Amino acid sequence: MVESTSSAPVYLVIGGGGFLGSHIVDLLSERHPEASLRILDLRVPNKLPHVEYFLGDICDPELVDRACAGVTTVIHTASPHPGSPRAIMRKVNVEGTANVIRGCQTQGVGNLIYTSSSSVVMPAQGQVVNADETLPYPSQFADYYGETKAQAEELVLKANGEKALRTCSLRPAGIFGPRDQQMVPKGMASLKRNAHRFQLGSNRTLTDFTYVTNVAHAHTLAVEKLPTDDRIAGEAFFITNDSPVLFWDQLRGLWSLVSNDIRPWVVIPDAVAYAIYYLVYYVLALLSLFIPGFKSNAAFVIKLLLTHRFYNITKAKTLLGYHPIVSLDDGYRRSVEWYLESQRE
Amino acid sequence: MGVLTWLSHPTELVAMIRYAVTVPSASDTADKTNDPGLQRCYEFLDMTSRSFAAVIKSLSPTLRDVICLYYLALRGLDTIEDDMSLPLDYKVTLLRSFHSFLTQPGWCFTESGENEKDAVLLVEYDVVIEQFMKLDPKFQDIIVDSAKRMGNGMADFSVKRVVSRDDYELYCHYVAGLVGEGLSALFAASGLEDPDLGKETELSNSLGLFLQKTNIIRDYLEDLQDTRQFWPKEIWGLYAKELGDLTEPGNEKQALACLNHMCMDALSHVPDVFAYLEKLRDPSVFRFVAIPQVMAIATITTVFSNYKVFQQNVKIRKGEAVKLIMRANNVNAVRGIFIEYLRQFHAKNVSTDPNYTKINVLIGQCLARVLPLYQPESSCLATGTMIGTGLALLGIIYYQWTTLASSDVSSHHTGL
Repeated sequence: MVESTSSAPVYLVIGGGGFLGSHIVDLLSERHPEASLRILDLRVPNKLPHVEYFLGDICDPELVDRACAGVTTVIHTASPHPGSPRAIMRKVNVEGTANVIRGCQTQGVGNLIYTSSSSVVMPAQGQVVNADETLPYPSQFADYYGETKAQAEELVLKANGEKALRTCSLRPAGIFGPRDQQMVPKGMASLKRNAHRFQLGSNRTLTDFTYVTNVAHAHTLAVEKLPTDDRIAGEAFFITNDSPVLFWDQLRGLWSLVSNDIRPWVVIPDAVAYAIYYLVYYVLALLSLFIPGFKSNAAFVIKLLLTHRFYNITKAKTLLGYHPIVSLDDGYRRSVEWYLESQRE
Repeated sequence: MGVLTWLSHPTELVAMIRYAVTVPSASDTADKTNDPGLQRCYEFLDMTSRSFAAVIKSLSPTLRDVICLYYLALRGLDTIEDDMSLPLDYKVTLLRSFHSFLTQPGWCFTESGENEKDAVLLVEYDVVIEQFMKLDPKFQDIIVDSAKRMGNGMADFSVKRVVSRDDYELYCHYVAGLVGEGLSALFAASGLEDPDLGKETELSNSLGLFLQKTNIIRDYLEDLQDTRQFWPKEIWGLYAKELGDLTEPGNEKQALACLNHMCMDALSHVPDVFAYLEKLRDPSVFRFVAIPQVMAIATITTVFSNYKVFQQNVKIRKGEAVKLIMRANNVNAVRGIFIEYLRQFHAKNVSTDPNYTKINVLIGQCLARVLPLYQPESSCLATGTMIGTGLALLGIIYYQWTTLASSDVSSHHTGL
């Protein structure tokens, strides 16, 4: 039955061993049992029996070519976390993505879905208030992560329509959930150190966070629609829980599930927090003048607490048919359950 | 109360004085009309309405009499609904046919119970009817239809209780949501607002529900004492065996959790309130609609997480109310007011509340609806930037001064 094998889709998830990638693999397995699944990643924590693995570097042309051969849709979700060294961010996000596009085009892959980031529109100065996809990239990016993600996204969207490849880009904001290595474990760890008693800023800024299953859901919708829907090809979409919260309420949503008293003891008001931000900013700028290669995003982290960062997801709703399937409230509960479970092991 | 309150809230005192100086008093409006019947209607308005008389009188002349008579029509219905001395069957019949009395010259009603404070309105209702029938038929039709639906809804609920959340929504729809819808239809018919405003039934309903739910929450104790229950069992049943148990000592925690659950439910109408306010064009209509809404956000914020609701009648300060009335002149000012109260509301939410996270998420949604279009008068960001840059500059000057001071030493080392 050669025909039936050739008509069943083949999906390659680059970064499928990672946090978001593994949730995409789970959801694709569940919703498309007919499809063949492949994962390309540096390493994977545990191998799934129904998945074919390609282990190695996404900058390796030979490996990417092999993984892409015969693939219907590539979901490229590999990315270092925003605190990684600049050279790594540049290499994985920009060079790696360019290699993936090249691989797709030489191997005749039909569709490429890129996991971008909401930070591609985050400017060095100013706020992101209810931003939609008409907002251009900023002339100066808030951080290098956003800058490299934007460069990669631009490459991906430009490649749409070239050599029969269809592309689109998803821009999730603040992903959290089970298997998270950042927000959930770090947030929960800060509770143990009593770091949650110290609140920098007046907690007045709205921030979008997105439960990981919702992001995976958006990816499977793109997998289903990109091959046939011309309104999606070449487009970028913000993906959030459609429910921004005041920044500290995100962590408090997690903390309140394990502790009865999470009131802050110290609140540094916005004006003072801004003063601290500018001090740190200028000191770091001075240091970088004297210490070769010195770069720190410590000031940027403070700034995040003081600026609105929330997005309008009307485009994803109307074109992708995306609606969050897990509420923030449920998301916190599932995240904490996973965390407590993982601590017991 | 008194001097101390004014001293601690000086802006409210200023607002009170300005209000007393600028807002037209009842006699001003009454003087404008030579019709003694209409004058009598405005006297009824003053007698029966605590909060609406002033806003109705500041409406533009096209709508003032129409809304005044709409108010008196609904007040008539309300007086019958409230009257506990009437036999139930008779009351139901009256409620269901009340709309037809509006066009029955000479109809009046003298059988109200002794305790009915607004009974005199029904005794002289023929005066209202006479004025009502002088209105443009397009307005009459809207008011009659509204009274018909409200009367039937009240009749339904005079024989059944508010149990489920759906009952609660429906009851509030009958007694307040329909008013929102009726007003939208009148605004549209008057030509002062978009002709399609009357079709915004869902948003109009939300306006009424936000007010009504806020009142129902605030009036918990008063209603309990009058043996009336409007809080739905579907909510209070999560926290108590009987609604009245909430007032009992030992149940404070459950009582607060229940109260806050009710407040959360009411607050969920805020996004719709703004969707509606943003559609309005006429300044006097805007104020008429917005003033009750800002009162409601102030009241619900005062009531939220406030155990006094179970002990006494909680109200916002008169000065606070007047200040809000003075401020609520345009949609941007109303956004500013809501943002302030939403932040206060947020600050009162404690993590031990069973709905802590849900309430935070809801406040996030409300703020996300209101913030993007808000133009702040002054910004904390600007102050912070100034302080921060100032401190940094001082730091640089200090740094340069110390390097200059030590430059003699360093020049020896470098051999310069």
